[in-house]
Amino acid sequence: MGSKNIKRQKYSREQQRRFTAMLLIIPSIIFLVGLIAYPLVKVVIDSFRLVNLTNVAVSGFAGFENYVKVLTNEHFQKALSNTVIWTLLSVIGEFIFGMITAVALNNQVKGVGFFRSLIIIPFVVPVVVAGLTWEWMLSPDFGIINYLFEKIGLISESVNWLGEKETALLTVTFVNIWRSFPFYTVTLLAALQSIPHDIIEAAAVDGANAPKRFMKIIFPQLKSVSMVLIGMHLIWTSINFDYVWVMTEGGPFYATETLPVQIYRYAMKQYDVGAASALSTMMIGLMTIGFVTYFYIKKVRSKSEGIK
Amino acid sequence: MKKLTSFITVILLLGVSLLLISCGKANESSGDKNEGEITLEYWVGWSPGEENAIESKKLIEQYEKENPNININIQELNYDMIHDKLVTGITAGDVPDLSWGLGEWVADLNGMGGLMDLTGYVNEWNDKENIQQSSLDALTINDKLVGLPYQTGARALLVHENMLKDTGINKVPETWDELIRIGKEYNENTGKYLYGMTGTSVRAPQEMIGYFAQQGVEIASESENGKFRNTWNDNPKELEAATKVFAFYQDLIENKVVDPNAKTWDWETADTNFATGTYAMEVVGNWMQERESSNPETMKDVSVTVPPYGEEPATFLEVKPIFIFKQSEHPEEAWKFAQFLLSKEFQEKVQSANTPRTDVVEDTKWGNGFKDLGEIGVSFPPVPMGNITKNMEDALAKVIQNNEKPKEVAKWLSDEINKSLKTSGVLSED
Repeated sequence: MGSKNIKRQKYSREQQRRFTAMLLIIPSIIFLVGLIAYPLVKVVIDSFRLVNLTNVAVSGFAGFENYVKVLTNEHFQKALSNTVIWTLLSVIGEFIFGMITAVALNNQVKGVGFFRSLIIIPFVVPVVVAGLTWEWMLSPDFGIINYLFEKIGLISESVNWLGEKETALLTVTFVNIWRSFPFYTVTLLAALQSIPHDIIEAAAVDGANAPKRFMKIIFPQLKSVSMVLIGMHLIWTSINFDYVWVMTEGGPFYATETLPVQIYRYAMKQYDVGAASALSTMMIGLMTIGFVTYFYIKKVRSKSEGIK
Repeated sequence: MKKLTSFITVILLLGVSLLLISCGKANESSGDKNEGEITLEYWVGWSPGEENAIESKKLIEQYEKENPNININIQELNYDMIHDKLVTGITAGDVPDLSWGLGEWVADLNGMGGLMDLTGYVNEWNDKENIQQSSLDALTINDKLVGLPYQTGARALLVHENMLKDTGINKVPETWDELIRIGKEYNENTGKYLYGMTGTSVRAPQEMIGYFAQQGVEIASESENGKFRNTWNDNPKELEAATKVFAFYQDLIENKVVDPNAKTWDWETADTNFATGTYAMEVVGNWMQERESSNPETMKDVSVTVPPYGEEPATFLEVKPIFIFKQSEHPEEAWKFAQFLLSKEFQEKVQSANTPRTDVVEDTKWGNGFKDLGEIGVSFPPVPMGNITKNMEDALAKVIQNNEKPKEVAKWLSDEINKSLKTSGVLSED
C-alpha cells in the first residue's frame, strides 16, 4: 500500500498516460525507422558512394559521379519523357474513365449492383496475370485483339502493339488505365453518393440541364476527392515498375523504359547500386519538390482568397 | 521523465536492432527443428507439375528417408526470381544452401563473393570422371570450380520435315547462304516464314553467341594476364566477321526468312510458334521434347540436326549449374545432396536427355541428337554477363529494329562490351 503511494507521487496520472501512449506507438516507430527511414537514408548515402556488387574493388566516396553517370546515360532523357507521358496519360485516362463510370453507376437503374461489382474486377486481378493476359491478347500472331480489329475492319493486317516503338508505350498505358480506373470509379461513386440529392433537384427545377448540373454542382463537390485521387496516382504511376516490366521489359529498344525500370536495370542487371541509388534519390527529390510546390501554391491561394 | 525517455530510447534501439537482425538472418530461423536435424534450402527453376519436377520430388523424398537428419526445403521459382533473390540474398547474407542458376550468372554471383569453391570437393569425388569436362570448364573461373553442372545441352536445329516436303524442299539448309535462299523461296511459295529467332529475352544473346562462334569470333577473349577484352575493334578481320553476323540478322528479316514480328519475340513466343507449326525451323534446346505431349500433331514430324552456319559449324552450349553458397551453414551436407542430384540414378530418371554425365545415354533424337552437338558447343566467357547480355540485345535491336549499319553496330558492341568489362574490373588493358 505504502509503495503504491510512493509510485503515485513519483509519476503523475498525466505522465503515466503519456508513458503508455509512447509505449504503444513504439512498434510503429520501429517499423517506420526500420522499413522506411533506414532504407531511404541508405539510398541517399549510397548515391554518393561507389557501390558495385560484382566489383568490390570499386568503393569509396563518389561525390556526384553517380549523378553524372545517370544524367549522361544515352537513354536517360527517353526514360524521363516516357515516365512523364506514361504517368500523365495514365492518370488523365483513369480519371476520365473513372468519372464516366462513376456517374453512370450512380443512377438507380435495374442491375446497377451487379455492374458495380463487375467494374472492380480489373483492379483485383494481379498485375502479373493481367499483364501476361493482355500480352497474349495483343499478340500479332494469335491475339484476339488483332483478330477482332481485322474482323470489324479497323485494321487491314495484324499490328504488333507491344513490339513496335510507335505503339508500345501507348498500349502499355492503355492496359494500365484499364486496370486502375475502377479504383477511381469506386472512390468517385462514394463521393457522388454523399452529395445531397435535393441540391441537384433544386438546380433541375431552376432549369439547369444535365451537363450544367454536373459542371456547376456535382463536379465542384468532387474536387477534394479528385485532387487526392490524382495526387496519389501521380505518385503510384510514376514509380510503377511491374506493369511495364511484365509486358515489355522497357522495350522495344527502350520505347517503354521508364525511370523505375532504369533503376531496376542499374541495380539488378548492371549491379551498379551507386547509380541506382542516385536515380532513386533524384526521383524522390523531384517528387518532393513537385508536391511541396503544389501544397505551397495551394496554401498561398487559400490565404489570398481568405483575405479577399 | 528523463529516465522514462532513456527507457523508451533503449527499447526503440533494441527493437530496431532486432528488426534488422531478423531481416538479415531469415535463413537461420527457417532452419533446424531438432538437434542434429538439418534443413537444406534448395531453390529450383522447374515448373510445378512438369514430369521432371514430379520425378525429382519423389527421389528427393526418398533421399530424405535415407538421410533422416536431412530435410530438403524446396522453393519453386522462375529463373528471373531466382536471379533477383540471389543477388539481394548474397548482399544481405541470406541465401539458400543450394540453388539452380543459369550459366550467364556464374561470374556475376562469383564476383559478388557468393559462391563456394567446389574444386577440392569435386577433385576428391569418385564420380568426377563421369562428368563432361567441357561442362566443368564452363563453370570454372580462375581455376576454381564455382558451380556443378546440373543440366547440359547444346542447341540444335529442329525441323518440321513435313512442312519442308509439302513445299518441295528436300534439303535442310546447312549454311547461312542456303538458309537465306531457301527461306526466301519458301516465303514466296507459301507466304509463310521458314525460320524462327528471338529478338529479346535471355535467348537472344544465346543465339547470337552461337552465330559469332560460327564466324570464329568471341565476345570476350582471355588475355595472358587472365583478364578479358573484346578485340574486334583492334582486329579488322574479327570486326569483319562480327559484322557478318549482324548482316545475317538483317538478311533474315529483309528476305522474309523470319517473321518481322520476331524482332521482339521472346523465347516463349518463339517456342510456341515452332511447336504449333507456325514456321518450319528453329535453333533450340531439347526441352522442346515436352511439346510432343502438348502439341502431338504438329510436333510428330520434327527432326534434329546441325544449325546452319557461316564459316564453321558451331552452336551454343548451355550449362545450367547448381550453386552451393559460401554463406551456407551446412556445406558438407549441401555437397552430399549435390552429389545425389548428379548421381547416375537421379540423372537417368530425371533428365537423361540433357545430363552432364557421360555414362547416361538416351538413344533418341532428344538425347544423342543433341549430345553429339556438344563437340561444337560454345558457352559464355567467365565474365560478369549482366550488362553484356543487355549490350548484345541492344546491338540486335539497333540492327533489326533501327536498321543501323552492321559494321557500326559491331564497333559499338565491341566498345560497350569493353566498358562493361571495365565496370566489372575484368578488362584487360593490354
